[in-house]
Amino acid sequence: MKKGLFIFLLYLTFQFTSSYAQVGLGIFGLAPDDAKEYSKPLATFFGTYFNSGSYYSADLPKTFQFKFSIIGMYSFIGDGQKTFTPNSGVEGYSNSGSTSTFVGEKGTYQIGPGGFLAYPGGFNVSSAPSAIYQIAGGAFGTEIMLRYFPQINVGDVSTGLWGVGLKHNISQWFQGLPFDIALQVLYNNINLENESDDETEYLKFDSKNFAINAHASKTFNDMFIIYGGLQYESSTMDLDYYFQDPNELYPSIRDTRQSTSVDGDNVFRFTAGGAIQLLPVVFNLDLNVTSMFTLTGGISLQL
Amino acid sequence: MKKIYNCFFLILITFTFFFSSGCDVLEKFFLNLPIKEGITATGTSTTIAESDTVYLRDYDAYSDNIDKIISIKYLDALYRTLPRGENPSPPPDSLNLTPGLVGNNIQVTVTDGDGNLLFTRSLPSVAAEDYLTEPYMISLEGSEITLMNNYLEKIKDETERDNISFIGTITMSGIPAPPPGSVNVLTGQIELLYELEMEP
Repeated sequence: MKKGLFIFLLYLTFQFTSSYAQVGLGIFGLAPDDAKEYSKPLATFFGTYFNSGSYYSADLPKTFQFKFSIIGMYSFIGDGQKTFTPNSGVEGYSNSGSTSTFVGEKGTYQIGPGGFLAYPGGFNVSSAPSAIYQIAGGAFGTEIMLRYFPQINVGDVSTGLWGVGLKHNISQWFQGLPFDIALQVLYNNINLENESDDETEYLKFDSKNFAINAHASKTFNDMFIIYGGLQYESSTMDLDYYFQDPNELYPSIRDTRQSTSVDGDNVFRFTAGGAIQLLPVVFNLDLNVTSMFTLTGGISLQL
Repeated sequence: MKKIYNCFFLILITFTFFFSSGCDVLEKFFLNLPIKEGITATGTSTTIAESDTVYLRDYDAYSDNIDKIISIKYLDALYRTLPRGENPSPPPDSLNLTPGLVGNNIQVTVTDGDGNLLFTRSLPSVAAEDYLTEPYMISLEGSEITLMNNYLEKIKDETERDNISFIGTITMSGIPAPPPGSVNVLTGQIELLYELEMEP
């Protein structure tokens, strides 16, 4: 089982590094203001990804409990995430119209005193599956959740992630409530750095994701759980990249590393779902209404 | 209890398989590649002309992804005059555009790397400075675009794709001879815009 789990984790890492390193293909040609808008869906996706699957019940025992969970998510990317309004900051070029983000399709181009200003296209992504694993341990109606993947190198790309969550069942302090209520705080970080010998391919993301939620659940016959919650969340992605200036319009910053900070669109989320306890295994499925509508499914080993 | 663990492990493997078949979400990627080639024509006669060859392999977006490129399509072309250009003999010295340079005709010609004419245009204004701040958009006819795109089909040939190139020529005729000891200088730039379709 350990070997299978290792292969699973390694596989996820390969998927992550091979897919998201490619965002650089478009960013390398964009000045920081445009790069920020181009990569915004990625910041939103990271936030949607990490702030999902953190609960399936508000009920926490007073005795010790351990959980290991594998969470799968499927996020739907709306058309609003696929375009942005260019803002090149170069005199003589328009700041209107629209062009593709990382998840859009074809990029536009403009004509000005400096000739063509061409924007990259995107990968035309309409949905994105993802997965994560987590462990949680708790007692006395309080639970700590951990997500961790060590910093590893896959070729020239290094990546790692960690996350922590703290949850407390507040309904234990009130008598006669018909359901359980809990508060939870989450913080997750993921980073990726592509540092090959070729400086022109340098790319680094550092995504920080915070969330706080209140959720409630009701258990029937010790087997069926319905749950729901409201969550406030924020996502920021620091982006460093090598600016190649293929349009030859930015001589002062051409062939230098550039940095920008990208805020995701995700702010509020409503979650509703259900779970089946076949202890020690629990299956859950929920819907998340946020900037990227997301389905989350989980399998947990609960001891 | 052991059966339950085995069951859990089987579910995990199934879950992994599901994601291994579903994670390939990135589709084809389209990248607009501007080819910008400055050409400096100099001389003391009434006609000055210069040609320059540009290889797509000289552009990182092309050479770094050459194995992933499915197709290349022509999008647009323009000519503009630069205030300053590279001296062709010897580079990397630079030369300024001759102020007030006016002739009878400014012609822009592009041929493919095999020497086939793709298009040629005489610009509407014969004053080089008119294109300093406002490029001239070169609108190609359908047959010219077909010629261009047919040549770009070489991307599918592994032995030819490294040699895809274009030769740009600018010619200015009917210009007055420069004062003794100086030369007429036309610093122009031909820009071609292509769309690369790439595998993720």
